[in-house]
Amino acid sequence: MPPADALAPERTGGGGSDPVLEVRGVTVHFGGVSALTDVTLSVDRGSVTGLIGPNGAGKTTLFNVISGLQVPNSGVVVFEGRDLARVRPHRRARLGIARTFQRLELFGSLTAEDNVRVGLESSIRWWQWHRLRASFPWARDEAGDGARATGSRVVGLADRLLAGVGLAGHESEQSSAMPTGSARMVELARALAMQPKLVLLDEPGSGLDEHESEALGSLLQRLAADGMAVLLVEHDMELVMRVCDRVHVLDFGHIIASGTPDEVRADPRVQKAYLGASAGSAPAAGGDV
Amino acid sequence: MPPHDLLPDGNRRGRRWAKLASLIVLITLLAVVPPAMNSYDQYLITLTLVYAITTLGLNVLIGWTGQLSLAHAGVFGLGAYLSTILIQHGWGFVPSLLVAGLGSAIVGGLVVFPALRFSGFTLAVASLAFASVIVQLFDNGGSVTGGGGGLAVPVFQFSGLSQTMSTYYVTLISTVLCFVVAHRMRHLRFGRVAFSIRDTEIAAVVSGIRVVRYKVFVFAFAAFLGAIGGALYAQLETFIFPVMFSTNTLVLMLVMLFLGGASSLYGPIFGAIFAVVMVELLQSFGSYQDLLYGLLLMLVIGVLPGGMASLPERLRTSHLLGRAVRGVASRFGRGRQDEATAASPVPPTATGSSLVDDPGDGVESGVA
Repeated sequence: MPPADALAPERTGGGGSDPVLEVRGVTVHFGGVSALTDVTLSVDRGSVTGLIGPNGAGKTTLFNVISGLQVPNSGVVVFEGRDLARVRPHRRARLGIARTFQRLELFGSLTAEDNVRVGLESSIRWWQWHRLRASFPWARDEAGDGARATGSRVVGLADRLLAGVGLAGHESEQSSAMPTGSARMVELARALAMQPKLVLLDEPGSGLDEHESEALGSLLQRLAADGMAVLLVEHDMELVMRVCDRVHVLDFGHIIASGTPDEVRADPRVQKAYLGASAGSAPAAGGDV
Repeated sequence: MPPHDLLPDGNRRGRRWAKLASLIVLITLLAVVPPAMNSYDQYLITLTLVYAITTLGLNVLIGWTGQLSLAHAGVFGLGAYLSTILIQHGWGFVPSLLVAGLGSAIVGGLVVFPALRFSGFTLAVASLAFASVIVQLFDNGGSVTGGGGGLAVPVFQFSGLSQTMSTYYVTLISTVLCFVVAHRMRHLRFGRVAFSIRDTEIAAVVSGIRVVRYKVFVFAFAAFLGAIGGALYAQLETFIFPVMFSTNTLVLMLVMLFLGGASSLYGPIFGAIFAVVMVELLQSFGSYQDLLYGLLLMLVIGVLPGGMASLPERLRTSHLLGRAVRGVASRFGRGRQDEATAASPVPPTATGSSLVDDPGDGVESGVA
């Protein structure tokens, strides 16, 4: 593990940009296959960063490395100036890295509201007195205003978060019974409930109709405007090109291009990776790639 | 505004009080009626409660948190042996009960170590091995455990009550306490976290949950409940052998768990009632007893895959039984509906369907 001060110069030398997350030289092998090779990228505070690439390019593997589910063979992940090598996944979540999954990982037996509550409550210590007091009905029903406020504040927050992703009125639906589009939004609300500084979204747009994906786009831009950093893996090129400030393109585990959406779109290597030999139109053509 | 807020607050509170009142009536009946029963029925009802506590532990482990750990019969035995040995050394029954519970929580909590590395069948096998080690200790414990010959249990007795009734009252109080604690746990954060670990552990981790800590607690708590059940069981049977805690007992526990309804809070009670009552009823069939028991088991599981606790839900949604119930309900509903639609602006479908539904759902569909 490199010492902390070795990481410092690069961080301060950013020249105006304010990276929340830096991934440096990350390499991951699965047996003989290398899923990621020397991947370096950074995500700035208050920006939406896109990560695109064909299926199997290693996008989800990179997400797993950042959230701590996959240990890289080499390379470092730095979050707010702190090397995360020894930080376990649930600690990373509490430090402010939230994520969603490409294959939905909802708490299916819980309602939408309770899914979000799990995210909200993960930072409350269970031995805290007011939480404990909420476990006793008589304390809650009587003058136990503190306990009551805590309980209903969590519910109120959860409902507000659900309303924020367009699911007002669906709080008490069981999440496993929800259509994919709504389920993805529950997952997003659960991630946002942790008040993350960085949120990793793995194809949040799949399963959404045109209208919903437009709403998602403006939600992401609003989050970024509030200072959150968003790293977005998405196949819907229209969405990526519209909301991202920067885009990184991953192909067979290598970053082959980085830049603004327009720069990336114009890059011949990107066109080759996406469209094979018949490079003509840009990936902005959209749809599933 | 969330639709469930549209339900009049008084109505919801009223339902809660109705529930609480019926529970108090039930518990009062359980306290008052058994002294009038014959001692065999007293034994059976105590056994049912003992099974309910024990299976509740297994339910928290398997049903809520999804940890397929099969050490429960061993832990059940540990509670029985520990409390018996403590009583033999002059301890009072209640302290020995608690210490046996806590001691077993520590030992049973050790199963969490394989559980942190494995899940599913691998955990099942590892925990089964753990249980058989415990039972081997009973078998080879020399004079401490009495070996294969077992131990006579010094039976505790309140003055003025029979032995069975003394055990019964301690069991009843323990059952109420255990279920109250479990009820609070289920409906508060612990329940949500347990279910989220069961549903998808990986999402629980990235939601900031210390899965390891929760698992340690769940294994210890399950072992505590199992051991309390075991200690009470020893009092009830007055003599314990290692064979009483073999895999057969585990199978019985699993039957009670899944028959009653894994993941439901009260499932273990239904499962325990079924197990005890069926064995008694089928005794008159002599050698066909086991065969009938097996067939009945398959029938119940076939009709109610979610266990007996899912019966009300099943009635609402099933094709055969439910259609009959819904038919009757909607006939009554339609009669009232005509009067209702004349006066109120509520769409007719809302009142018609809500009769058989949970009131909460009915209100919701009325809004949509």
